[in-house]
Amino acid sequence: MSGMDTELLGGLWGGPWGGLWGVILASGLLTFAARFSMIGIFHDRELPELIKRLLAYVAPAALSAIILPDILLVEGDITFTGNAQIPAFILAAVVAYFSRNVMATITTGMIALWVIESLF
Amino acid sequence: MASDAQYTSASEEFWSGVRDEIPLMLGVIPFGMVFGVLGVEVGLDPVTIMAMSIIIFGGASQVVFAQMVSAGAAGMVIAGTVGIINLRHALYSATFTTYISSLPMRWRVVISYLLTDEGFFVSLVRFQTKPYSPNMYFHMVGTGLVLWVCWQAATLAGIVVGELIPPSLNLGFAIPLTFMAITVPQITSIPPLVAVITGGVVAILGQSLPWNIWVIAAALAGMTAGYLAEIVLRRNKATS
Repeated sequence: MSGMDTELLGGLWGGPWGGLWGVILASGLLTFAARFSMIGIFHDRELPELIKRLLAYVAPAALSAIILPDILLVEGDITFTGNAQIPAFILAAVVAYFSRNVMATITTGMIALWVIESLF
Repeated sequence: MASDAQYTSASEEFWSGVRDEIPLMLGVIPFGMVFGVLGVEVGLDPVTIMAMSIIIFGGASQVVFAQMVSAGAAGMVIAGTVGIINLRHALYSATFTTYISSLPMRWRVVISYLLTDEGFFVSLVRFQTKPYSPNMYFHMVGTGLVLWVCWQAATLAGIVVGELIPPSLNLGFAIPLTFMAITVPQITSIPPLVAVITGGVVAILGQSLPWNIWVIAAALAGMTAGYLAEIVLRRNKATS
């Protein structure tokens, strides 16, 4: 293990799962467990209705939880003024809603951001 | 011969998966590069960064992982956060089994490993809109493999040439854009909208929560709120 990792381990990786590689392996295992759960293990069984209903909202909730701080926070603070990401994101969201086209959405968002940033 | 012709072949499915997935690479390649750059910035060595892309293979969770490293979060909270972020894949896993019932175990392992937002939602469109074929799981091998190759290559590119990318390009913006492009089509009624809003608001408000548990809190709050909204709506419909 490199010096850099050992340094991170010493400084940051306390707790019972100490070790950066341990955390990566645990993360990979948990991720694979979620993906494999129904395809590999319970494929001949029906999920309980409650679990199924709850799981239906994990994707929108988790994705939004990752997206929104990315757009709104600048160095840890909610920033509306001078944050070109907000109008560019809204424009791209409108395109996403009407076109349902990933390429059009990303292209619109990136170009809008570049244009807005070069104008102001 | 004629009996085979009624279904699309494994290779037809595979290549149509490859073709369908390619447009998403516009977002995924900058996304992977941003992750590579971020990993270097946070102080991880190249082997560790590549290992994350190969072992976890979940873009959003890897970015959050790297951010949490720089925030000084404990290992257990980081692994827990990755687990919660990727819990949504259990739903994709369940959805997949409603379309494909019999499949050898080795393919179940391969497809599970390749199961991601960007691959699954593309293959789901194929499952829903085109005629059934016993080979249609190969579509998901196609979408998954394109994504896998591009993700690894983009991570490596980010590590190697990351510093050559001008910061003014704001490539990091491709990440929320990619996820938004996947999330928006899921908002087909009020409950998912409630989940989106709750998840986002709790994520913002929860930034100062201890141990960086804001992602976990936001995901749990959003999914509960979405479910409650569904119950309230159903009850209102029943009583009106």
